Amino acid sequence: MARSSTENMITLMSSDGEEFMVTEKVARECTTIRNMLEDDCVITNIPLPNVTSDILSMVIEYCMEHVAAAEKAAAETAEKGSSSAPAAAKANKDLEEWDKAFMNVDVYTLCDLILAANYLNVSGLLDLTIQTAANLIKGKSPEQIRKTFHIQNDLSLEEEEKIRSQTPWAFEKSE
Amino acid sequence: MEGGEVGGEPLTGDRHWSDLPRDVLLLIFLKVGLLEVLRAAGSVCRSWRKVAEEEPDLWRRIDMTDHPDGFEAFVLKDPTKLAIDRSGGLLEEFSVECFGDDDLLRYLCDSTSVLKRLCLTSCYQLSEEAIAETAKRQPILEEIQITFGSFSEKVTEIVGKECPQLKSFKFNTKWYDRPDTGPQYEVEISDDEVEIFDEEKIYDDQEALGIAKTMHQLQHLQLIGNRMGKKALKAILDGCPHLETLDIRRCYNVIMDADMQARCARLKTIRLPGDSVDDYEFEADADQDDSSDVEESYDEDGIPYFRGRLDRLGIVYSLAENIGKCVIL
Repeated sequence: MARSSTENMITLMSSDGEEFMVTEKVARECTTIRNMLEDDCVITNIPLPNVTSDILSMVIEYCMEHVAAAEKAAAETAEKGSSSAPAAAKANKDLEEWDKAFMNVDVYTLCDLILAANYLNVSGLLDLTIQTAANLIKGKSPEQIRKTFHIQNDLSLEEEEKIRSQTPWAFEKSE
Repeated sequence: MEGGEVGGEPLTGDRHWSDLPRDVLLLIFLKVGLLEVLRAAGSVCRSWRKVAEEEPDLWRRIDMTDHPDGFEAFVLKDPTKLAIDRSGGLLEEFSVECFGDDDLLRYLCDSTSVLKRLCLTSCYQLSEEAIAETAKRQPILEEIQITFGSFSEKVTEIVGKECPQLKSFKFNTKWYDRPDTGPQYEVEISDDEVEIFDEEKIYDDQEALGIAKTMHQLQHLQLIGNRMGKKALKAILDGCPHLETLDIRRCYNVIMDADMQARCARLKTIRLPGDSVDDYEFEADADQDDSSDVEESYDEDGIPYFRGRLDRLGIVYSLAENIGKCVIL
């Protein structure tokens, strides 16, 4: 994943022992890692015991794409003196499309990505994954949500009864 | 250095959505929207229910302006009251669209006294007295936003009297254009000043004068589509010495002549009558074709109603008024 020999490289190690070499710039997309680098600038090897290699490679893919998009936009601005609005709008749209395609994952992967984005503090990825989860929840009944996310209904009868009495309006239409 | 290890529980392969940390689930619920949390998401399982019921951060800002399809707006009153209950007296921001009425604001005031921001959109059943009463009972209220509505021209004075501490006031409507055909004539407003009046234009300074008279601490004022003239704007500039931002877009009765520009020079930001409304979230111009966005239907009793979002379309209400019944789906 090295892009230029002059850039600092950081090795990220997943919970299952796989090593990922990334540029410092990509690693800095993770606020958690950025803070560590700012505390100790000679750090080159970071174990991430909370993230599996599958998920870490996806997080890195996301960060690389977003760093590349930002670099491209900055280069265009530098070249032309100012960024052209239509080009910037197209680049944004392309990135949005990329994000959308990137979110084409099963709910288990989505859950892992949310936890990883939260833990590594990648704000863009956290927003994206949280929004994707929210979209999957919206408009569904509790039972449909359970099915979508493979959640066991562990509410007792008493608890269910309490919910019914608190929110009778929720049961009038949907069922 | 080898050990930059970031602590925390190891994540294994069998994560479950029911085991999400509270802070993460809170973020999801905030995106899902409070109505959906009350209606469904909060009763999925025990851990989700716990966050929905016991996380006060979820209920500090209640925004009931984005109604999902399938709700009749006033049906949302009970869920909104439950949301107010859940805030446990910590409610700081309350936004409601369509179904905000006197009863709901009274309920809100019985629950909280730390409200900072109140947004009322298309609440045609709400009285100015109820807004004033709310202002009176919320000592740290800083911002009131009223977009569309059915109030008397005294509304700003009645409300302003009860909240002299108000920092931000937004009172927006649509600009209803009149054909600009009438002859213009000049009217003396003081010894040496004249204002050009257009016969076809409708002036109404009352609302603006009510602001000038009562809201002396205002820093931010938005009055989109108001029919005030130059004299009323002068009164606002004199009556609100702390004013920093002023937005009078679509206030076409205000003529920004050299004198007015000089008076406004002290403001940090001003948006002028003709400025773009692209960044404004509501309709600023009463469009002749508004009614085309509204689909007429009939309910079981054969009574017509309009399927459409009442929120952005003041016109839906005015059409419904003629028919006497309005159901929002």
